[in-house]
Amino acid sequence: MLKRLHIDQQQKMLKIEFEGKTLEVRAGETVAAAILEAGAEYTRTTAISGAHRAPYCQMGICFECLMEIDGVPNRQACMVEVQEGMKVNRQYGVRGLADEKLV
Amino acid sequence: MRHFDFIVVGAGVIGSAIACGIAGKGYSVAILDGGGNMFRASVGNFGLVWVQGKGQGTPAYAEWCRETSSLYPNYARKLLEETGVDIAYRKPGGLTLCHSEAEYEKRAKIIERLTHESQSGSYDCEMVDREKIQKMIPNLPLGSKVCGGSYSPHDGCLNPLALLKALQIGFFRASGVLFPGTSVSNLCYEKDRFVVTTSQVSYSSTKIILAAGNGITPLAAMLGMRIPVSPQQGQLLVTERVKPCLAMPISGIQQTLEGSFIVGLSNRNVGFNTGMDTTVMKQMAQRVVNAFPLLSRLRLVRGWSALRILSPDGLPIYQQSESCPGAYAVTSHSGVSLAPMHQSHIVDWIVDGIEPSNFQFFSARRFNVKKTAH
Amino acid sequence: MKNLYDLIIIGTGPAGMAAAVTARNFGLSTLVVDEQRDLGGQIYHSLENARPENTFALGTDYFYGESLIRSFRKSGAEYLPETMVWNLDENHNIGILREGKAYQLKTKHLLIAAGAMERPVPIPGWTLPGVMGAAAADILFKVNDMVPEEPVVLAGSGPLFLLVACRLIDNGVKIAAMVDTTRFGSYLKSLPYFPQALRVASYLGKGLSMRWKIQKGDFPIFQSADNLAIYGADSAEEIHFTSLGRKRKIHAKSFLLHDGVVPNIQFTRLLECEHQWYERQRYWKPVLDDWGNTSVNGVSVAGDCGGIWGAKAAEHAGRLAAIDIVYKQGGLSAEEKILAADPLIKKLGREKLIRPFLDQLFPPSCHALVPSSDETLVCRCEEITAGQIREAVSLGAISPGQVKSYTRCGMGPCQSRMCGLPLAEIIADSRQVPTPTVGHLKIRPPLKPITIGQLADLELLK
Repeated sequence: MLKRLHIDQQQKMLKIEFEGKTLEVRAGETVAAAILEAGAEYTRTTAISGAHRAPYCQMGICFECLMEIDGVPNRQACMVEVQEGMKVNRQYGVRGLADEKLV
Repeated sequence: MRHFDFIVVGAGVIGSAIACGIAGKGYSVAILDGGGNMFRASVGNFGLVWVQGKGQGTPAYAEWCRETSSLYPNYARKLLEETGVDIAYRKPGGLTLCHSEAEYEKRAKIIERLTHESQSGSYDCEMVDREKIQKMIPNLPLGSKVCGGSYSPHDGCLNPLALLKALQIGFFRASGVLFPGTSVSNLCYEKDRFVVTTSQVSYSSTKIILAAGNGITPLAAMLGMRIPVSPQQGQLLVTERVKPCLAMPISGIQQTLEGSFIVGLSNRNVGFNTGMDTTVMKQMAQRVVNAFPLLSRLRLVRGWSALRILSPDGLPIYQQSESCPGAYAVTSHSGVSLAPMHQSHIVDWIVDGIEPSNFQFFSARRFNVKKTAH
Repeated sequence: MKNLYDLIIIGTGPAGMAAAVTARNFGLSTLVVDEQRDLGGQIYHSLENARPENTFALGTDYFYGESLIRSFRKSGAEYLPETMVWNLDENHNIGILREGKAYQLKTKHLLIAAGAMERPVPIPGWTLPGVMGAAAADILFKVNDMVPEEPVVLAGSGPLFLLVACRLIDNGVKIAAMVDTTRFGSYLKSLPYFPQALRVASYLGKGLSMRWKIQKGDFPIFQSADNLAIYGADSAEEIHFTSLGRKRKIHAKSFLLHDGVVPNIQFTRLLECEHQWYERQRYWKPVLDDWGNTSVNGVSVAGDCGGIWGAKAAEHAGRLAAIDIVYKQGGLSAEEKILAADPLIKKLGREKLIRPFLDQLFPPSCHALVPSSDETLVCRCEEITAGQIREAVSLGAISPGQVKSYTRCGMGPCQSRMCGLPLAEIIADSRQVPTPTVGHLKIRPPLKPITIGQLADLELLK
């Protein structure tokens, strides 16, 4: 869905996990951008119809980029910066109550 | 001038239920509704159909609440059949939680008093301890402060917005006519009929029902009725959707069938203010966290605030005008809970003059008595 | 964080930064908050992290913001990025969420410089993955050094529509087609405003050079396009439209929609500032005096969230607003205020000359305002269609609030940012009344989601 323009030797790369697969991403990227660049066609399914959705505005207005990040559901992925070891999953419909692994 | 058998002023949950019931009897009915600028208490409702705790010192009202709860299951079914709208009524019973021994004592006294006053001889609401509550709500661990509460099998909940929509659809299917965005500027009674003046046209009717929420007082005065009401603000907060984990409605915490949790139950007298107050929001959130710590992780997506319509004693007013017979005023802050009663008993009273038992209790004259006592 | 500030500014775009610099020049204790990680608002987004390789594609207009950003960094304003404002109240208490904790802050004066957002374009298929706002592509470029997967279709009209196309061309992205919805009639209608636009001829020059670059590109440009609809199974695959009487369809991987930019009025609506309807561009904007004061005491607005005038105008407006605030707090006499403001008022007046022309040339397209097909989604969050909204109106719901009660439109996490404008237009169209008369949704806290736990642990003001 997206393409990186420049990769150079000095670029700091990180490893994150998306749906169980390891991705190499550049430091400073947003989670939404990194996931779309990795080829994910969609980043969530809706609570009502299960339709596939992907980010629309990339600036925190549309709430289409809701994803599960490090166990916390429904986070706006376009507002979160990638971190080493981050675990990202799509937000599949409605969240559960105890989905958080964090306290 | 267009004439109707009945005109109802106000398309909230009270006006719509009454209009729907009367139209269903084959009469020509028009609803005149003030529109989006009005305060619209009906859409600010928490959605509980609650029996427990209601009507202390007023057995007639306690009984009124009990009856509506028993009517609700059939009422909901009928609405679904007749309008296709599911108001999501369910009656798994309901809980009021107590967060301290003092709260528990206070609640126990209320329940004791209501049991004692109960006309039917049984009240069906009991105090339960923490352990028993936890068994009723296995998925959500209780916070340590919760020491017990009161439980009634008569309590339930529904989707109040769906109820309003169902009543509107039912009204249209019974050939009712709605004039939205139409404010009433004058009412008068001449030659056995009522003339209703709005900014655009005038209408006439044989009978008229005022169900105009917080706007009822000046209209009632035009038809010789003194109906005192004042606005009481209620705030609530709504979360993101969550997989089902709370089937039992609790006073102040409820999970809708869509999955959102609704939390709240504030009341403040702040005039006609439908904003939110930060301190109140924090208190509501704290109470939820104290009740069920796991809920603290849920995201609040929106706030809502509306004005209840309160009579001086908080109970309904059902009044017919003496100087203008055929004019009725109906007001209550429990319009959602009482919809079945409004669509049956109140309709029968308005159309055929049949008064339910203890009905004089709800007359507005009870306030006049208090006044002259000074 | 202090207990009380002289000035709190929401937004680090040109308006917010310029206001902060001016306020700090006069010694006001100033806090600036922004939800984003990087400075610059949208126009100068992530300028401090710009890659040298992107200098050409980013363009001189972008780097114009560099000196302002430097001044802001040196100004001594307290700056909190990644800080979300979830509440504002009439006592100038600001509710913020920062690093997972909620605080309340107090200020003598509040300046809202929250900028603009793209007008939502509710066409059939706009919710399919692969469809984005054109500005989203711009953000992906500035913040992430990324471009949409090619081939790309751009559909819509307006200055940003042209700008994003040029950026894609500069970055070597294959464009499948440009579908321009500008109507020929708009060119004629905008002619009366052309003379005053000539006084800021550099803007016109920019427009022309963008058009020339686009014209030279090796992709078709379809004019006067209408009846836009996007189709695809799970992702967007093709866009259908009519152009000059002919039905067309273009296959692509990415679809960028744009139909103008509108003020972000969530904050001013929450505070119940008075708003006015701007008919030519069909959006609401707060009523402001010449200093950006709203109808609410102690609340000012600067920049595009008060009406779309562009980045340079935003900067001047920010400074003017700050001057007025300084004056109100006793830091300037009335004469000093006029002296300081005079050159800014002139500059602001000049910057504003281009806008009436642009607004008349690029009015919102009909399909962006009122979807003709009932199946088109309007509320993305709750999946409410235009048909459901029309049904609610037929049941007597004549205002956005009433339609919201019947349909759930506007109840989702975006709190009507995406559906608010089309909702009002559809109601007005169904009722055959002017759009501003139908009213608007009441905005309440939280402005953006905050957890129950965070609210429970909110640190109230002492």
